[in-house]
Amino acid sequence: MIKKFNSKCLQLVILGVAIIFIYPILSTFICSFKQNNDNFILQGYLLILMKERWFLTGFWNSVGYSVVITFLNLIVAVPAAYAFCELQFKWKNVLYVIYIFLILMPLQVTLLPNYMQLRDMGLLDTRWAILLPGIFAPFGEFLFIQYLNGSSKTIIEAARLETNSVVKILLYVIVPQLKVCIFAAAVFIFAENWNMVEQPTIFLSGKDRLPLSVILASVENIDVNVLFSGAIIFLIPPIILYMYFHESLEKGLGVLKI
Amino acid sequence: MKKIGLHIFTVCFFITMLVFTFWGRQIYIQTLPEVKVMHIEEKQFEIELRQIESSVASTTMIVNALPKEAIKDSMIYVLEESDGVDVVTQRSVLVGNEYEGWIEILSGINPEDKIVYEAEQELENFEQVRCIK
Repeated sequence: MIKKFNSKCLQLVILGVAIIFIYPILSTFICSFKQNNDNFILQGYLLILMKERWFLTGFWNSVGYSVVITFLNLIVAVPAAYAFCELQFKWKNVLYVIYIFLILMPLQVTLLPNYMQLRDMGLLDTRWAILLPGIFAPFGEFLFIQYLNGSSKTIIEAARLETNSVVKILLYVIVPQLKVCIFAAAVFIFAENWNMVEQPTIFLSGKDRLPLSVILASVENIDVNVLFSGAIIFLIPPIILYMYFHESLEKGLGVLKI
Repeated sequence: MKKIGLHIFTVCFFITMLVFTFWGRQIYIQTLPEVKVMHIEEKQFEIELRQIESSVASTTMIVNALPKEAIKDSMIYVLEESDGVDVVTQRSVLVGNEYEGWIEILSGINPEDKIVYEAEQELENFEQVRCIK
């Protein structure tokens, strides 16, 4: 009886928390169809897509940054993680600890060094200022290292007996082994870069290169309901990605136990 | 097969975004109110000169003028371009004599200004329009 009561209470608490989390999105969704003057419910969507040129520029900038960073980050992270797990070299553990520190550091701490380096390289106010720090972000490596450390080495050792080519081992052994983890990392990296605000605000000044996350937050002189429609469109790509990879995401994180 | 609905939604979403990226602006411009514009013109006005003993004489003079329809309460709409779209901005002018449907403009307009003289609907300041002439 008490167990049943506890279970009901827990369900109620979970429902309450779920409502708190869903409410802002739900209210944004409802408001995106409300218009001040007309009854035409899709007017806000049409206006933001047709009238506001900045919206689509920002949208494609966001798509470009997020896709390129995610793809290249994974290309860098998989071999790096393999090297970390399989190669023996001096200062390996120290380097790994630095990686962990980099992940633990708040973004704001690394912004200034990144800014100074990009300035010295003459890359400020270019798309590279956003792409390079994103491509070499250590989150993917960390995830793959954790996964590879926890998995059996026998397959890799067997593959080594078959071939000396590291590329072949990576392509035919490591990547299939990491597949679930790669998808999980891809969702995380994409979502992180889709929502980035600080880096573009500091590294970019040209409005035509800003992602939608920054533009949406700073736009003025626009009907708030039209802005809600823009916010809903802005939500769709990460949701699509999550719908594709949510099983991998759960499995990937489940294996890591993080 | 399991995610066929998601594939269709994804493809439709990105195709819609591409369509609006390439043609959305043109479609939007077609929905804007049409206006006809012109530059200020030089017109020959016949001016009546009243003398002290009520005798009237007339003379002609060349003045800068606009059609009566372009001016409302000493205000005109000037066409400007903003973010790739034509926008009308309201401007105050100093008007003089009126003659045969034209009003003399004393100040407030530059020769290169495009002035709205006919609009499909009542205009507002900073309203986006489509110039057809």
